[in-house]
Order: sequence, then structure tokens, then C-alpha cells
Amino acid sequence: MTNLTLENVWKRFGSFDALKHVNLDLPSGKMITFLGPSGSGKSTLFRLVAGLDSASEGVVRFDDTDVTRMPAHQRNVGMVFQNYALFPHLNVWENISYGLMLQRRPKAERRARAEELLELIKLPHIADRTLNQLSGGQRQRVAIARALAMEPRLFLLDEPLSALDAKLREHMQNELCDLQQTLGITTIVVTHDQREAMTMSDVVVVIDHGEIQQVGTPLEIYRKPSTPFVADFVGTSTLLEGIARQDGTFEFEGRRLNVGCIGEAERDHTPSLLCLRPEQLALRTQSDDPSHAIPVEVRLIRDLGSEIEVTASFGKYEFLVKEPSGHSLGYSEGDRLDLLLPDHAHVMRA
Amino acid sequence: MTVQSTSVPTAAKSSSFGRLDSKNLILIPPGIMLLVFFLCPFLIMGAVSFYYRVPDGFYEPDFVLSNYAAFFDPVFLTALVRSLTLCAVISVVCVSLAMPFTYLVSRMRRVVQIPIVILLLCILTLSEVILGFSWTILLSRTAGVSNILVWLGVLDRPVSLYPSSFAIMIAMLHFCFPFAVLTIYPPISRFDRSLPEAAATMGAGPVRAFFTVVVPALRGTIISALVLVFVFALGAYLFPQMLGRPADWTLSVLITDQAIYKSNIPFAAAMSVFLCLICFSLILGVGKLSKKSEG
Ligand SMILES: Nc1ncnc2c1ncn2[C@@H]1O[C@H](COP(=O)(O)OP(=O)(O)OP(=O)(O)O)[C@@H](O)[C@H]1O
Ligand SMILES: [Mg+2]
Repeated sequence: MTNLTLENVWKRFGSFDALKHVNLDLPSGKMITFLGPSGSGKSTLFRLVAGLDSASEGVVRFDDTDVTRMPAHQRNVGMVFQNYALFPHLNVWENISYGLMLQRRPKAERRARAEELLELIKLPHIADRTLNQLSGGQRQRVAIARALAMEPRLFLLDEPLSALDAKLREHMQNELCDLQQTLGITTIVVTHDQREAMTMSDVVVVIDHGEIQQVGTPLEIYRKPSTPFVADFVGTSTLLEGIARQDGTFEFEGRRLNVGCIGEAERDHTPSLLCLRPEQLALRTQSDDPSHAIPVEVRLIRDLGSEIEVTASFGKYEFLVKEPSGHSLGYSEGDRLDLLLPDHAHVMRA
Repeated sequence: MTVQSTSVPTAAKSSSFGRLDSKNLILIPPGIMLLVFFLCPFLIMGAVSFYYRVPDGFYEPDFVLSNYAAFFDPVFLTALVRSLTLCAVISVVCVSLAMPFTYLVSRMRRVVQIPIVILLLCILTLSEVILGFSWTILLSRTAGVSNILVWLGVLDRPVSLYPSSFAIMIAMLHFCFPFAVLTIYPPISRFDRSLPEAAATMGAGPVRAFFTVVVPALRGTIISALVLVFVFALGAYLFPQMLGRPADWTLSVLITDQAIYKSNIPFAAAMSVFLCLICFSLILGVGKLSKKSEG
């Protein structure tokens, strides 16, 4: 159980800043994901934590130890690489017990530890196989077992599930969560799949362009995004530009919307953004309260089988509304309707 | 050319030799080249090795085995053993130096890598003659490195460091090292960086990661490099002559000696055939071995 702290960490490649003033304090024993689009610096941050690269500036701490200048082989972090990085010249159990081999432990002990870990990843009978006798999913589990063999302080996985098919992926997500809970080890998973981040983690760290955008529980990230990027990257949202008022109303295109603004955004003066999620919205032919609705035009109706996605527009804004599938909507494309707004909605700085 | 790539033509042959479509047509020019410049001379040499050598003369077509019988003379047997040992030592030393060297170079930035590779290629373009003569100067009494040692106070007065087997070794190493590096350069630069990184996260320092992961994972490359350098070193015949005593002469020197100075072409041919067979069987054997260890 290790708590990981980064203080004002920068990473430069030449003149390019891959990470900019990263400050993080991650709780111990939790499942943490680094979420961000491709090229946002997730792997870079990750490699700094593992010690495979060194920070250009700043401090990395495990608990109270400053590990900024400590080389990877002294940090005791378990890591699962994106391509698994299993050693081709060793078989399964030798791969798993490689770390113990470095410590010159007796063979019986190494073998026993490998068997134990294979039990943990639910592949007890493959100890003596070579790597090319394993499927992709099995390889990945062996890589996980190997990373856990030395009882690491931190367990790091770089896009561990990206190479697996959808079914296996979901399965492995659950397995990983179970494993993390059994071992209680501080685990960091890198992903660019927001769904994966939302379902797996206790804490999500959203990164974009080398900057931390937000740190929070999945629900916080979804309900109270702190930047437009987060609102857009995690889930679907429509951001209305306007001014949040002290009394909780939102001034938007000459209207005063009675939506109960919550959030950090400054009131009354500077423009802010109102974040509306599909499940907060509903379409009605006529609303009773004009301050609680926006007139929209239905643009597109898509029946996905499980639900119906309706796209409606107001000026340059597009809203996604989800309707239950199975019964008729009572309106069609091109109709003019009222979009009902929620009682409370999140506002953020523009 | 690596040992792995020698197996490629055979694979292509078995799959597409029956039909002669446009894809195969392109194999014809190199095929003819190989036939004319490689196979024919080799067959001629094989034939000559059975010819009868006319005493005090040249040779005439015949079928005698005496050329091969002469081979069992202890002089030639010791030369053979000496050649094989020398080349084995050179090849082991070269590859053991080239492995860490190439590994380190391949991890440097491109701007540093390129000049190093160019320098090695430059050395490789120098012929044996030039390298041999430069070493005779470097190791000589009047202008050689021993003068530096005197200046440093290690020696009392300059000495000539050749002829000696040490001199042969040095020159051969110089000759073979760039070759060794260039043979293992492609597989090492392609080598998956994440393997040593994974080793590091499990507690292996850079040196241990090199010996416990990089070296064993590249054992196929290492074996083929050993063979290639060995064969390459076997072909060197000027260094032992220029930098060694007759007692240090290798089989290649004796072949030259027989062919050029003693005009005993059939005997030289017989020895060459023998040397070729050793090389072939080594390459084939190692090719099989590395294929088995991969599959
Ligand atoms: N060794 C390097 N030299 C120069 N630039 C680099 C280096 N490594 C990464 N970068 C740059 O840093 C940025 C972040 O890269 P990083 O690999 O951390 O992205 P990522 O978030 O992991 O993306 P992905 O999801 O595609 O893996 C990218 O723009 C990349 O080009
Ligand atoms: Mg990455």
C-alpha cells in the first residue's frame, strides 16, 4: 500500500513539453486510472512513476520517500507493458519468477511462488508452457502475474486491455478489479477508453496535452466536470455558453433559464458553460414553464434497439436525448419541440 | 547476410520452383550470377583437387586421392587446428565485445549512431593489405606503440611487437570487429526495448538486464554472428603472413603458399575444398540449431 505523490512535475522532450506542472496526490490501495486521448502524455507520466524515464523537473514520492532520482530497478513497481514484454527465452513459470531468480532464491521457492500466482490469475496448469503456446489473453494474465510476483509497492498497467476483444476485455476488467481488491495494492491503469475508466476505477485522473484536467471519482468526473475538455471527453454533453447568476439561474441567448446552477464557476460577470447530459434532458411538445425549457428542432432519430437517440438543435447547439425504445415517440424529424431542462445543472468556467 | 536469411531461398524454391511466372523470372539473373561466379569456380576447384600434380610441372586431369592424403601430414593438421582455434577465439572475442558495444550504440541518439556506423563501414572497406601494413607500422620498433610505452616508463627501450601471435590477434580483431558489429546491428536495433525495461521493473540493473534478458533473448543472433565472424576470419590469409612467424601460419596461408609459391594447385584446391566443407557444415548446422531453438 503506497501513496503516490507528484509535485510540480515537468517532462520535456527537446522543446516539447510532454507534461506540464503535474501535481497529483493519489490515495493508497485504490484503483486509479489515467484517462486521456492519444498523445496526451499518459504513458510519459506512467514511465516517470515506474522510473523508466526521469522527470525534467519536480518530485515523485512514494509515501514519504523521494524517488525522483531512484532508478527503476530499485523502486519495486510491478508493471504490465502494452505489449506484455514477456521474455521469449523463458517459459511461463520462469517468466513469472524472474525477479526471484535475480535475488538468487532457490528453485523450489521460485516454482512455488509462480504456481501461487498462476492460481491467482486462474491459470494453474500452464506453468511449463512456452510463450507461443499461449493465447493473447493468457499472455496478458501471465504478464500480470509476473508484475505481481515481487509484491510491488505500486501496480502499473499501460493500456492493458486494448489488445483484447470486447468480451474478453469486459471479463478482464472485472478480474482486474477483483484482483486489486483482494490484494489491496495501489493500482494505476492507463487507458484512453472512458468507459473502461468509469467502470474500473476509484479515482480517475483526466489528462490532456500534458496537463492534469481533473482528478476525482468517476461520478464526480461525469457529474461535475471541471473543464470543457473533461465534459466533452467523458460521456456526451452539450455546453451552453452564458452567464451564471447569483440566484442560480443561467442567462443564455437572452433567456433566463431556471436550472439551479451548481459548480465553481464565477457568478454574474464572466461567461461560463452549462453542462447538460443526455439523461438530464427530455423532449415535450409543449412545456408549462418557459424558463425551464429551450425550443428545439428535432434533427435526427436513431433507433439503436435498446434505446432511441434523438438529436435536437437550437442554433449552433446540438442536444442528444435518449428515449426508451419500443413505443412510438409521438414526434418525428423536423418537428419543433420544447427541451426540458433539469432542476440542477453543472456550470464551469469557459 | 545472416544465417537465418540463408534458409529463405530454400523455402522459396520449394514453394515456387515448378512454375516460371513473372515473379520467378526475376530470380534468373542472380541465379546465373551465382552459377557463373560461384558454383562453376567451386566445381572447377573441386575437380582440380583430384587432378594429378606433375612433379616439377603443373597438373593434368586425372582422378587421384593423393592430394587429400597429403593433407594428413602433421604439418597441415596442426595448421588446421591452429586456424580453427585462432578463428574460434577471434570470433568469440569479437562477438563478446560487439554485443555490449552494439547494444549501447543502438540506444544512443541517431546523430551519434550514424557517425559510428559510418566509421565501422570505413574500417570494413579497408583491405587486409592496408590493415596489415598499418599494424606492422604500429607494432614496429621504430615507430610503434612501444615508443609510447617507453615514454610512459613502462618499457626501457622500444621493441618490435611482431612477428607474434599477439600481433595476428590484434590485427584480426581489428579486421573482424566491424563485421561483427554490422552483423548484429539490425537485430539489436530492432530488439524490443520493453524487455530490458520490464527486467528493470523487476529489480534488474542495466548490466544484469543485459545478461539475463538481452543476451539470452538474442541467442540466435549471437550464434549466427559467431559463425559468420568465424568464417570471415578463416578467409584472412595476409595477417598471419605479415604479422606472424611461419609457426603461426594458418591454413589459409598454407593454401596461398602451396598455390602461388609451390605451384601445387591440386593440393591447394584439396585444402580449399576441405575448408569450404567445414564452413558449409558449420553454417548448415547452426542454421538447423537456431531454427530448432526458435520453433
Ligand atoms: N521519447 C520521446 N521523444 C519525443 N517525444 C516524445 C517521446 N515520448 C513521447 N513523446 C511525445 O509526448 C507526447 C505524449 O506521449 P505519450 O506516449 O505519453 O502519449 P499517450 O498519452 O500515452 O498516448 P497513447 O494513448 O497514444 O499511448 C506525444 O506527443 C509524444 O509524441
Ligand atoms: Mg501510451
